[in-house]
Amino acid sequence: MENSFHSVRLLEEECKGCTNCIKHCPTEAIRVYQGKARIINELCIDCGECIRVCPNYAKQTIIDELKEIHEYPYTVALLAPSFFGQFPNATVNQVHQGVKDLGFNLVAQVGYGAEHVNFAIRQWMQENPLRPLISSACPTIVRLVQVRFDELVDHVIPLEAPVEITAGLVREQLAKEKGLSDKDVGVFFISPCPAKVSAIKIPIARGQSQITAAISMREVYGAIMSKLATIPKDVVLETDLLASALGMLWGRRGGEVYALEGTRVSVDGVYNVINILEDMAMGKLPEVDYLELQACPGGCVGGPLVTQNPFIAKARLEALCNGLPAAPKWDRDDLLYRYQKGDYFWKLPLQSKAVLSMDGDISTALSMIKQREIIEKELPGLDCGACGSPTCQCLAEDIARGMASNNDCIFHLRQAVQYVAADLWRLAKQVPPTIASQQVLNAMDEEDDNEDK
Amino acid sequence: MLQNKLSYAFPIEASDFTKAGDAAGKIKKILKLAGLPATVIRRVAIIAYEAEMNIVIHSVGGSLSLDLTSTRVEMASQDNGPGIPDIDLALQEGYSTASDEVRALGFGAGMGLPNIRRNADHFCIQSEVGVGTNLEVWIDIGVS
Repeated sequence: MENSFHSVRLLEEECKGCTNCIKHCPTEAIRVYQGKARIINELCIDCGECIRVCPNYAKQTIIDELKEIHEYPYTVALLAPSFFGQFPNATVNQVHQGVKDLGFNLVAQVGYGAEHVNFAIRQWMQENPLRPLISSACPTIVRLVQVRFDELVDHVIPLEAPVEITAGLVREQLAKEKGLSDKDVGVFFISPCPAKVSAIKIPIARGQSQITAAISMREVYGAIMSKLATIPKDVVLETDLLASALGMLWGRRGGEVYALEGTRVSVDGVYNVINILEDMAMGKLPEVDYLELQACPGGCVGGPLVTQNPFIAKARLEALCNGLPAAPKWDRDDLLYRYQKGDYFWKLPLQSKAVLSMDGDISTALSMIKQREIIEKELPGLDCGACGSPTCQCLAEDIARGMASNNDCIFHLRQAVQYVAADLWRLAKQVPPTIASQQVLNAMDEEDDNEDK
Repeated sequence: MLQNKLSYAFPIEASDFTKAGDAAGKIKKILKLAGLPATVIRRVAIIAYEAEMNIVIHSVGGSLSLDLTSTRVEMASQDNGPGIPDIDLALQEGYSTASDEVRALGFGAGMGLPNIRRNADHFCIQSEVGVGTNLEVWIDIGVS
């Protein structure tokens, strides 16, 4: 199995080789090489920042298509809370029904699974003293910790994301009530982001996802918009896999920690998250119990595959929650049983992926670091990006790793050309006595004098 | 065999809370490039940050240095005063001489030196009132 699948890809023919994406990549995972912005797979965390900033729409998400639902006898759509904030003046039930009308047999709300995760977090916090805990709900954040903060992997709470939990609960219900086997059920997640797509193809800490495929919110948006007017606002939904306000608010920053105890901090935006993880790695957050970290601005409502302005979507989602029950009717014994059975947990330990090291051998790495510093001193320090690396320091690192050359720096190259030109000029003036023309030499001297002025 | 060694010295200004943490951040980055185990990086980052903050909060200025080989991370901090009158007391958890102003910023909880000692394999501190404080720590990398 391919172990470094990424849903964020480059459309070569659209890429003009500009430097917008390399400058905005939070893990410095993109280089412009031969005029195209290439993604370094080991470093990519599928945050989608490059998708947001590319002026040519050359960064896209590899995602499944809606027509795949025809390949399964029974199909289920999973709706993220953020999805309900995408439609003006629509009720939760209308949106839910609108998706079902696309041809699904069943629709389930991921907020329902989020409520189970909420229970599991509270239980885990009571049983385990390690603090601060890092939320595992946003797959980009989990990958960020694996790639850039591997010293913090133990702090990531080892729980499955709500969408995976919801898929499990759906499959269990269908097996029990309809006798459907796993292979007959296609579970489709309508995703706000590429990271969740990647987490389905290559799950973070489990063998295989229970979700069959992911479809972009953008793909289904138009079809549902056009149906909404024909669906009654109070349409009755034929499922109990529905979210209360508690689960629904997971779609925006602050929803996850709302019902937790202790000192909780919610951070959104991948750069803000990096800052707080840097602080945490230096032991600067002694009083924090739980960190809700979301890569997108505002949380999932700000995902790269949503259609609406994240602030508007957040306001709509909050308004919709006013009409929902505040909390779920939990069967605590059932949830505790599932918790103890391990249903909510990752099936494998979270691996650190220390990809920053310059060499597997520490001694060799030390020489390369030394080399990097010598090279960096020769670079202009302007971080212009014209070499294809995001910063001068990054180029120095690439050169030391043998992935780039000094002359990739246009300042360096320009200087080299100047030296060669000066040499040529000097040689040009040293003509043999037999062919020396005083007239030419005088003209050259005059040129030099002008230059000096 | 001659060991590869990297040496750095970072000057640190007193009371400069804008740059505070920069040296520790640079040290952490170097250790990541060197591919040291995560457990070592965690401990070094905490030590470096606490040592840096001690200079920022308590001293008139000084420096933090790093010497890195494939077997050991050595760090030393030195400052130019005012010095610690009673080191045993300073090593007690919760004891702090930080001003109210500094505490208001969330620092000076009296965990700095104990935290450094807890995370180090070797810990040595010398201080003279009116002269300054020298701290020397190292962490063994544990793989050769």
